[in-house]
Amino acid sequence: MFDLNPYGNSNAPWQHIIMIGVTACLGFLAAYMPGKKKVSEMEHKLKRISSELEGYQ
Amino acid sequence: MELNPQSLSGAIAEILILLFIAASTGWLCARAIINKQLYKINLEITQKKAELAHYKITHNEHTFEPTIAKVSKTVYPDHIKTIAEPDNFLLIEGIGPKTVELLNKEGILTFEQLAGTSAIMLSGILKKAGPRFQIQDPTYWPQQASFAKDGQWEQLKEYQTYLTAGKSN
Repeated sequence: MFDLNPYGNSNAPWQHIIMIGVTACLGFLAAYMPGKKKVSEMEHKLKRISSELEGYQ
Repeated sequence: MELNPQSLSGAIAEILILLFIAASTGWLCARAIINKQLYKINLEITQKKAELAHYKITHNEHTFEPTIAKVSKTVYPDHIKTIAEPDNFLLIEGIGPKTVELLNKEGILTFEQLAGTSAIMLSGILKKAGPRFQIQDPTYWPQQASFAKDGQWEQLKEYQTYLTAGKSN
């Protein structure tokens, strides 16, 4: 379907790989950063429950 | 679908599709990692919450009895207070403030209680309290208390006059 290097440029594959890698990283970060924030909130909640539980034990 | 890589629009479309696929893959990977972490934490939170609820129920069961005791403490003293309001024993001939204190300490608080206590028992109380009280004669206290208990103040006064006259004679 795709012909990413129709002129047979030798540097084209590396450029494409770098471009795809960077985009994938950006996509990963776009989902990871808000998710990590939510995980931190949940961890804080878990800590609060744990300390409350320790008070009863 | 065929894209012509040699035309500008074809080249742009190819690269945009490729970048979209790459970004989506990265995004899905991150979501998978985050969801895994969240699932673990949620599971732990659920377990801890259940444990906490169990401890709270157990704790409430233990504190149930003292709460009741507290309630009875609030209600009971008011009831006692109305019963235990000490009568004015100073109206009885021969009883002074120190003797009132002593009788109250011994649990004799009302005229009814004093009327129901025999002179011998009162002597015992006075004897136990020390030489200072031993000189007192409680023989006529129950009779006086009996008048006071029934609100017969005239009879009490007459009786006290009789007693004082007897003493002075």
